[in-house]
Amino acid sequence: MSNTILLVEDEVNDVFFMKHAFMEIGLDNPMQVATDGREAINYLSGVDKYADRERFPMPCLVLLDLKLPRVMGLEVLKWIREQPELETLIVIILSSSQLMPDIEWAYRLGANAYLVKPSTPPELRELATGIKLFWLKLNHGPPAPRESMEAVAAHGVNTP
Amino acid sequence: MAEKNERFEMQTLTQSPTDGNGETKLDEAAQAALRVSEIRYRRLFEAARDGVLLLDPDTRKITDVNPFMIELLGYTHKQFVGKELWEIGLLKDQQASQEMFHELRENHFIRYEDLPLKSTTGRTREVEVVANLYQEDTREVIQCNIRDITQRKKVEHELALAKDKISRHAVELEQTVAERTAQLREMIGELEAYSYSISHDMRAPLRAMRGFSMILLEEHSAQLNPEGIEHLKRIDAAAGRMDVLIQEVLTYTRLPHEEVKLEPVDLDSLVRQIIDTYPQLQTGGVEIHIEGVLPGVLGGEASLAQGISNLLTNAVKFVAPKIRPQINIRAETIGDDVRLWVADNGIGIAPEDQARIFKMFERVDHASVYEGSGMGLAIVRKAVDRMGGQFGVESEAGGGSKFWIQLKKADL
Repeated sequence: MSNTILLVEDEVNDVFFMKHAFMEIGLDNPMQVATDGREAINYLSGVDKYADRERFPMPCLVLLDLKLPRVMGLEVLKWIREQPELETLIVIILSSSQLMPDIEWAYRLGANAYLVKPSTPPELRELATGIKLFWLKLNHGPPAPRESMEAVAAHGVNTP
Repeated sequence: MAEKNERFEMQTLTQSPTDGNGETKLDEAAQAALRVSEIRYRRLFEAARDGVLLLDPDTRKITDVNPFMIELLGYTHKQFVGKELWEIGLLKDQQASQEMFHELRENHFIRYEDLPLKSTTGRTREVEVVANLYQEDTREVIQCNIRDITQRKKVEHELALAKDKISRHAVELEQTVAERTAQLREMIGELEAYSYSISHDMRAPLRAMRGFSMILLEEHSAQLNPEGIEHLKRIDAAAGRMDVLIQEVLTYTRLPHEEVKLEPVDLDSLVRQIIDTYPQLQTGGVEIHIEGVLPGVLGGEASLAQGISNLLTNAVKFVAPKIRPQINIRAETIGDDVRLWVADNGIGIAPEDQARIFKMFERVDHASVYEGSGMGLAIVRKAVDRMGGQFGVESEAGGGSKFWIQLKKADL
């Protein structure tokens, strides 16, 4: 199973800080970046260049910003949960919004966690450490999409 | 006919004391008294500004009519006498007339609040009719008093129209007020959403400024001289202050615009919880004393927590250098209210500055000495306002401040 992290973030500085923080805490999972909601959907559905799953593997974790150009974060989340093969994909919201409606909608639409973007590198390191420890180490994630479909199919065959 | 009728009346009066015996002879004085009485009541009949009709209950015909009645309808005395009521248009038909006489026989009294009448010239009058059947010596007489209420009805009608118009205007006014209020609310909502969105967007470049200056400090300070490092620290501090300011604007716009739903709040546990959760209240130097157990108040827990935490962090923030912040918290009962006092040993506020500190962005002190956005007390004020409470301060420059929040007392 791939250990790629997909970061959906339009702000180049925030992309830099996130990568920098991951690097500093020694998290070496490959990171792919989609800079708007449309691109995130293209990546996950494997269209155009993203059809090459060698270069653009299915991620084990999506870090999703909410304020995005073209397709907003919550719409991306909604789309993800509507795809049968992406239903179990771990999606963590990483937004600067602390508005309760944003938080509530994120959970309603099936976010696995909601993190608020910190404003300094030390706080960001702390957040990255948390992600590394909990989501990448302690947490038992769902099977990768293809394995998952195969498992369902296999189970289906075995059922009398 | 009128004369004959008058004579007839006179006879009745003069005859009655004899009462059929014929033996009693009226003396001169009694005769004179009778004449006086007759004149007095005839004057009443003739001068009245109400119509008077006399009717024979058996024939149902008019036997006499006063001058005002003649004036009212335009019939002559002669035309009146011998007619039935329905013939002069007072009742709509013969059947109505029969019903009236039947009721008069039963009750000796009848009253019509509002009857239309037409004069001979076609003028419409509205009248109120009171009829009495009474015994006049040996026979019965019906007297109808007819009051012209046309003017009164007209005034009443105009009054009703005016009232109707006023109430229609009131409804329109209320509607306009409701519409405008809704528009204003919507506008305020949009403005607040807008300011929220702007404030939110302003944090992204700030994060970049702070982030890059801190990375420079952490990873590249070897290539910088002490002056360069100092400059970087100043960039970070300034960006940090702006971040606090923006976050407080966000907090302020996030406070509800509507009244907060009030419910009993355990002030004691809320205050202790706030003290436990705020790091700046936890440092060893800060001394906080709570007098006794604080009572319950009616408020919104979130708004109240916002207000109290701002007061406490303020109290710690605005102290003279090298002074240990000391905060004393106590509650005072004032009638049905509870006033929560937060007293500090801080720099205090001169009386002339006290009105300004509750407004947005107003700061009394010099920005470089004390960190702050100038939003803190505006947030407390808005939060307390939303709970229908009061907020104030007692202070002197250099003498510490006593802030208070007053809310309704609640049983827990």
